[in-house]
Amino acid sequence: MKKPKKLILTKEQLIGILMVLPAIMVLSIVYFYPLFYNIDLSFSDWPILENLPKTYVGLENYASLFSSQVFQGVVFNTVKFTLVSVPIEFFLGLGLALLLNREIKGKNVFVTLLSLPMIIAPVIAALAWRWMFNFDFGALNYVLSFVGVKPVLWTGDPNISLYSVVVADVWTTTPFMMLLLYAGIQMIPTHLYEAARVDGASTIQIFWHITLPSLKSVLIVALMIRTIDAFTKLFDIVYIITGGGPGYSSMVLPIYAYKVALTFFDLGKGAAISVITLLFSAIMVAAILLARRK
Amino acid sequence: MKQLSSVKAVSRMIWAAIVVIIVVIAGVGAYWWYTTQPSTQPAPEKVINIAWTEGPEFDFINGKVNEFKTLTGITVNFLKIPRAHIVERLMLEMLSSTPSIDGSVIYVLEAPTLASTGGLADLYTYRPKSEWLTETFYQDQLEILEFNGSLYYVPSIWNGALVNFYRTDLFANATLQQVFNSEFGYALAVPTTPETLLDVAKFFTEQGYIGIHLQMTTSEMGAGAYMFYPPLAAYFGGGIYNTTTSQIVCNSTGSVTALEYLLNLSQYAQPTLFEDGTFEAETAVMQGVSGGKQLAMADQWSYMYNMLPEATYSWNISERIFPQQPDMLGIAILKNSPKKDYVWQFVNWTSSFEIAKGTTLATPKAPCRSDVANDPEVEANYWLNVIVNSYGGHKPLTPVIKNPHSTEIYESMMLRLNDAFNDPEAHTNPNAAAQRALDNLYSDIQLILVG
Repeated sequence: MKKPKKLILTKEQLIGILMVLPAIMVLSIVYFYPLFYNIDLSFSDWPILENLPKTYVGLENYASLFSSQVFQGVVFNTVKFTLVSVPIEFFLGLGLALLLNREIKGKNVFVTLLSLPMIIAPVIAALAWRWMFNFDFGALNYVLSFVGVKPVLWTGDPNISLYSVVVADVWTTTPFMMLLLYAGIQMIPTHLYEAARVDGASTIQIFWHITLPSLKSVLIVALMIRTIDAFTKLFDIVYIITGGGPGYSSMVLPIYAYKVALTFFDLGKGAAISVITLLFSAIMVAAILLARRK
Repeated sequence: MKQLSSVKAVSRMIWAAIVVIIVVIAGVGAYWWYTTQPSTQPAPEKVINIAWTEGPEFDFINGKVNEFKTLTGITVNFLKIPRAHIVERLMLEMLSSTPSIDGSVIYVLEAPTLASTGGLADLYTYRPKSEWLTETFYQDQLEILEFNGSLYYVPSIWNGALVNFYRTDLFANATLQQVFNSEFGYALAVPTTPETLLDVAKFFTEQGYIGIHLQMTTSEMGAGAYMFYPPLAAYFGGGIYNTTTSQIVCNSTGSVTALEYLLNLSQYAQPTLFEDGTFEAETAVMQGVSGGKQLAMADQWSYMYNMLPEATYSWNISERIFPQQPDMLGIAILKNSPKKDYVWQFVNWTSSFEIAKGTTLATPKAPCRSDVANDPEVEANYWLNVIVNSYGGHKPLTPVIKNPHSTEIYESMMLRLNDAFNDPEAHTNPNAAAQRALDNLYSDIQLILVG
């Protein structure tokens, strides 16, 4: 008969396990429990408006959502928003990071000023942008009037409203990209640049063959974080500037989940929307990681 | 270095730790249960928490609340919650076993949703309907707020009426009168019918003004398309959903005609009609400008009347042509509050003649009691008849959809109105655009009701 394998743990290892056990239990309560409860709710119908108990309905909520034109439109808006805002933030952030990498006077002041949008609370930034977008009194239309451009319905035109929100979001999140990429650039060994210059490489060649490859890991992380944020945490900017309107022209998944769950009180469907949002962002992140491997 | 080589010993220690944590949690839970048992709790203090919002009528009551305390010994704490979020907060309160709110200001369009949960106290148990009527509350207003024979609040806080604001100087302008007469064949006057409203709005638009300021926002409740369209549909013989007959009537002939009319009228409105909120509307009336042009008329709230002396241009108000939805705020009592009787005393006080009169005068609004309307001090105001006639006096108030899913139905309505306004044929073939949008709304409502 085989003797059972013995698990050998030192006293220090065991104490370490016991030390983190409370934290794991707290994490389980505040993270895993709500997550699994939410998933469970997404397979249920809970008609609290009719004072009826929760019943399991399988994939009915998901089927209903995917067949809903409104939901399809909201998903399209969210994907569109992500695909437009993240690349803009990325290129702007990279450009600013490269500029800051040069030796310029007062660089620290510029870094601080350029970081300000990130420091301001998103709600306050959104309110400021809402005023700037105002048709009659907003700063944007005022500036446009000097160059003879007619006032624009930034938040009242359903064809433009989503892009107006993109502008506000890019303004608030580009500093994050800039700082992340700037930190990445700072870590590139300077001897690589020196060697390249000695070999007669141009600025573009240096950027393409040294800077970009060296930044690959940081780029992936930055894109992942911003993609997740753009998909799952896009609430305050949109909610305050347009409320998801006019109609649902700028409605995105997080606000729609809130609306369905806490305005219509269809808790099951609201939970399903948040699970779908989570899955979509996981797919996008997986795609980014896959691209990285290639 | 000691080594613990036994799996059993390790697992025993981990289980011991888990048991300790479970015992601690159980102990805390038992303590909580014990302290929330009625027999162990002291008699409720004479302090009530009322969820509240803002406005001149609230300021008036806030200024008088110490009198209530002197009278009853009850202290009122006002918890300010943005109106947009009161429903979620109240739903959570009603699901909770330890309420932190005893009463709340609620709105007529949210009331069916809240009432369906069974979490609100019926005011008819405190004072039967006959007594409310003896106290001169308007019967039609009480009936609008009745759900399955129960009354959950009275509109003692706000009873907003939309009225027609018009520029007195423009309507008195001799040149404009001449041009209008030659184009339309009758004298320029403040419109009193839907046809003359269209003509006058079109005329002023042709003259370089904004014919009429409308709020057609389709992304928020309590203003915009939500308030404007349903009574318009009722005026033309249509509607959205008839709660009495359980019929969806949103794509009836009357409803389509109403939306067609609205699409035509919206051509003469300000360019920001789909995004203007309350602030933009107030500014438009005060400054008389929107979309870079002067306004000739505005379909706006009666409370703005008090702002007119400081407005840039000369305005007056006239009776609204169309009926309107009730715009009612009042205090409801949460059923799971242990201080329901104290909240009732507060409700009773806020709906008394003195307070009802004070809030009516503080913010020109429709009174909730006829004795207030007949009071000489109130009657002396020009706006009273305009408001009372606009708000159920000459045309009945349009009843709200009394269904638990009313919020969702109204939301779908706004979405489909938005589709209609943005339809390529919205102004070239408004009837077809309206029919399309309302047929889609019919399907939406069917899905909402069936589930």
